[in-house]
Amino acid sequence: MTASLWYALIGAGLVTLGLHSLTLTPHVLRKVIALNIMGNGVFLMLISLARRLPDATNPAPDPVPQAMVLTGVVVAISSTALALALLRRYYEASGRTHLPEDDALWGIEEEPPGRFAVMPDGEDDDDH
Amino acid sequence: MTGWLLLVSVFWPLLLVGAMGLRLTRRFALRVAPWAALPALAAALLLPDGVAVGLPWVFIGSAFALDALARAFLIFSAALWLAAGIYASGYLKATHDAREISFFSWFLATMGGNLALIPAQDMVTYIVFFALMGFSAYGLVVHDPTSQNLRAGRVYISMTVLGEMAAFVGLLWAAYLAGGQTGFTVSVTALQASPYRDVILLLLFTGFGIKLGVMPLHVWLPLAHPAAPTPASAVLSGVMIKTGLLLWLRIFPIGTGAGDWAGVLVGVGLFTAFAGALIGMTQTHPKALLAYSSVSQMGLAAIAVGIGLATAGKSTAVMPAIALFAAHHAFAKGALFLGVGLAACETSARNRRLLAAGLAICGASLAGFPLTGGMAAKGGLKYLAAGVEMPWSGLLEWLLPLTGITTMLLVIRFLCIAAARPGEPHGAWNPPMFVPWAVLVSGVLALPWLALAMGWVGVKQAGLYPAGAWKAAWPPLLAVFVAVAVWNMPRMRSALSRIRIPTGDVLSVFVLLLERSLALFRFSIESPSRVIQGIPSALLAQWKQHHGTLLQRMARYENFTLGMLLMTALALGMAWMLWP
Amino acid sequence: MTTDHLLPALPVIPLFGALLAVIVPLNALWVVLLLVTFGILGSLISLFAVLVSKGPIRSSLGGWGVPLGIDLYVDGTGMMLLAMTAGLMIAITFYSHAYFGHGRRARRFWPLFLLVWASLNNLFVTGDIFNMYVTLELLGLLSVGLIALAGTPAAYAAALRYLLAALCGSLFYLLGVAMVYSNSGNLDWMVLRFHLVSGPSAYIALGLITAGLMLKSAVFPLHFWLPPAHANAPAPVSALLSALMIKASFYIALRMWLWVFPGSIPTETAGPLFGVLGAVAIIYGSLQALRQHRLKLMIAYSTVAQLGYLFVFFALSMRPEGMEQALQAVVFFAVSHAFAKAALFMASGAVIRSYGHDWIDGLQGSAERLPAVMFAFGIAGVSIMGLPPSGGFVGKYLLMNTAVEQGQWFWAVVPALGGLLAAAYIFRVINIAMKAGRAAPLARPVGSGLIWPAWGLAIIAVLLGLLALRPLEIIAIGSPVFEAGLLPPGGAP
Repeated sequence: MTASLWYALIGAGLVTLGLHSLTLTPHVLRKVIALNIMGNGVFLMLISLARRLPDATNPAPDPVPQAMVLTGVVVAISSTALALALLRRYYEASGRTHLPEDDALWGIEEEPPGRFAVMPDGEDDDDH
Repeated sequence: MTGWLLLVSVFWPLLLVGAMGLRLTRRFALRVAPWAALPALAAALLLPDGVAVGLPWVFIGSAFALDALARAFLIFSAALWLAAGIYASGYLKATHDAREISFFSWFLATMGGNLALIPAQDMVTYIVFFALMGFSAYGLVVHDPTSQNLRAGRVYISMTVLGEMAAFVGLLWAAYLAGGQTGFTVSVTALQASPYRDVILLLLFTGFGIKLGVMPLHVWLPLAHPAAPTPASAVLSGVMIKTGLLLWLRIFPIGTGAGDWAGVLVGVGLFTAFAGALIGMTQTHPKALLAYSSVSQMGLAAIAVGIGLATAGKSTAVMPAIALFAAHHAFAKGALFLGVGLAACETSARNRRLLAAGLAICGASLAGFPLTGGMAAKGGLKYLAAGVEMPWSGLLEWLLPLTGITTMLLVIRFLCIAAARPGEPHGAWNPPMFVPWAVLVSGVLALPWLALAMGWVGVKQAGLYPAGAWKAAWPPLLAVFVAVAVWNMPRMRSALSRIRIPTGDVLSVFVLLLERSLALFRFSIESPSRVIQGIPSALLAQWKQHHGTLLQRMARYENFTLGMLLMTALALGMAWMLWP
Repeated sequence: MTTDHLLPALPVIPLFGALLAVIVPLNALWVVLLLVTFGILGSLISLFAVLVSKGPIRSSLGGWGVPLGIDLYVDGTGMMLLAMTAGLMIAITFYSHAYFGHGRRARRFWPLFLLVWASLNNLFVTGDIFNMYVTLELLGLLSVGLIALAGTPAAYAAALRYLLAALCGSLFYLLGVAMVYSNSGNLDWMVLRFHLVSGPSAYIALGLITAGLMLKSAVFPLHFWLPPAHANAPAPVSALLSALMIKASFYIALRMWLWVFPGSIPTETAGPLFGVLGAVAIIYGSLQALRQHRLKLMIAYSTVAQLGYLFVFFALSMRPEGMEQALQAVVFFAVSHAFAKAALFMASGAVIRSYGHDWIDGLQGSAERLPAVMFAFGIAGVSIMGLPPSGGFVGKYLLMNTAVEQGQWFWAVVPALGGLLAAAYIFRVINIAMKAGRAAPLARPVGSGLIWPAWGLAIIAVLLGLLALRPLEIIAIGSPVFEAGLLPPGGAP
């Protein structure tokens, strides 16, 4: 077993763990963290599955996966930030930390209603 | 160049609809709207033979040409549309109808669809304008949105959609057989060689038979035609139903001796001709009665197409005869409908007598009375039927004159009703209403001579000789005799007048079937648990409360967790499925 | 200006526009929008001229070339989708201006809107499947922001659900891309088919990529996020999402299944699966649409159903003999659906704006109060139902024709049934709107700015059917599927 295959397997394990947690835990924060773990697994696989591995004749590693992972990390950071900001908004508006359907699915009691009143879409009071 | 003239003239009404939408051009459009069919009429009369234009970039390639059939249909269609348009301008004033923009928009859209499909030479173009005409006419049917008219509109739109679908599937299939080519000439030959011919012809027969009103597909017609304002009724009954006939003529293999379909068409046609007239006699509304008369006359048209299918030798005589029949019916039925509107106007006794005479002439012409257009039209049919070998030919020779009797009886009944019950009173009698009507009546009288002069029919076919005239005269005369006899037998008269068949006759059966099947559909979708009989209703309600309907339950499974699981399963399943 | 400048200009112009939209005051924003629109239209027109005269256009960014750099590539299919994007974005610009005005939400809307335009343009010109991942993520994040603009708890929940699902879908796609790269050492979709080697990594890659993309384009069992997201967003955003965003991931799937994987994988064996999923989506989506009480939810479920058509096409295009016609049909159908669906959402937005709600039962007599809006709804509905002469009709005609020509009758029956069901849910609304008597009063009048963009799009959806042949020709330009085995222009390295 080569080192790269070992890394790839670890990556696959991380993806599975992340997917499991993303699917089966109701708390959105845990889902976000699970997504990050999953993403890291994917990045690990990206690096280890590179086409050209460094060897005796060509000591430089394949630059393409490196570039891809760098881009992927940027995307992951920004999407995590967005997810967290949105989760805060959602919590403020509804007082919940779960998606509405998960409460029913996992048999969780209704949480108290949110602090802010519902603003229907048609009543957009900020355009004149 | 001439091809473009043709296009512009038939698309002119559609351009006017566009102009009606813009505030800037609305007044102009409204002013010329009554005359919108004039360019098409001029084009049909003046353009030389063989005018054709292809627009390969429209639809899947579209073609227009003014062949002999298209010219004949375009002449009478444009003429009646023109008459109805001018009549409408007077009619809206007489009935104090302020919604002339709405009326003329639908009127012009319907007219545009009708006129544009006549020269169309490929199936897609035909069905597109057929649909435009059919759907726009809905606006005319419900122009006066009373609950009765809205019901008529519902029946109309359902049947139109149904016909549209059958027609669409049939034409699509035919196009496929022709290797993707949509031209009529190509597909007729391809259709003949195909084993699916009968299925496709059945689809086309149904799809366009609904528009034509052959029984039992006619149920919408006696409801919708009277519901529309009078000028719109005239074109609905006079020209629009003949677009179904035109497609039959284009796609059925006329003159090739296809006997089996000839039998079907003649059988259905005969039934329609008699049943339409008999049911029509039980109606009390003059326009409903006229609509039934149209059904009956279109039965005769179906017979004509059937004869055409069976004729192997006389194929050149078929098309002119049917075109003449259609043209005559357009003029006569148009004049009768417009006359119903005139009868409701306030006017002098002299005008009333004139109106009565005109209506009587048109009615007699429908029954094929000598020296009218109807005699030439029916004479052509009889002439064709005489030399044809087909399933019903022996019977046909006897039954065709009999249709003259029933038609004349229907006409007499119409005249009595129209005289006794002029309908809702309109305003004053005015020239824009009277002149088009008078022109149509004179057209009915002039038609046989015109047909002779143009060489559409021979002297023998038109029956313009003493023995022929007698042959044409006896059925209507017999009908008059019967009518007079019945009139003088009060007990019989009251017994007959008590027979009432609701307008739309078998429609109620259709509706019942539809409602039952819809209920079954809803039932099976929403609560399959109820299919299990014997469950107490309280238990059922409880079940429903907890589990909801099937679709509700399915919607509840649309959640994040299941979605993620399904995605993973799909990824693995796809890889597994493709694995060699 | 050469094509080397024109191709990058398509994403770059709206990108700069978005940056400007953050700083420029709202009452001067129209200058930015005007410049962006004309810049994109100018580039598109010049590119179109080149495409028609010389065939597909290719340019290497920074002169790097494959495999290290990113190539931009436009063929007929890409051009058609770029043109569709431009047309819809212009209409949505006008509509959003009327909808958001100069309010607080406008400030946040315009930068996101222009970024969406940049991302879509980038997606349709890029030749690199990793670059596609980036645009896919961008579009996902932008959609989330746009949905959350509505500011209701339901919208936040929908946005959150969509965000989590979309991120997971994108990661699946990325994993697939990693495997493709490890298999072939290449990321360029035009030439990948010559480098991919049949083997486990190819199969797993295809499975992952397809599942991820199907989630993002909301194909039947994976559509759970779509109805709440599209129904709870503000109306211009709903139009944007349903008309364009869905097509982005669908476009990638199209490139994958018709360009990248044939050759190394017997893709036609997956055809029936796509077809069945599509057929179920048509029936299920239509039935759910028929059951909804809210107008926007109904239209959203109609999107689920219409996506089913796209995947039925997909099933037909897997077979080599039907590829050409099916590709033309599928792209054409996608384009006409985009116009019709955007018009429907715009009309529903006008209804919400004037009534303050979108309960279908409460729209009695709205044909009298809002004749122009309901008429636009009806015209767009004609295309959704697939009645002639609309674009939807021609699309369905081509679908049925392809199905019949391939002898797969079943796929010709499904659209007919779907058309019936679509007629049922569209007419349900029209019927209630036409009902006379006790019409509910309007909460406030509707400005013409909300009406005529809907009209414009609905009319385009119908006109597409009248002028179908030219778009169909354009779609076919330079598609290597038509000359399987030939190297595409630019060639393999």
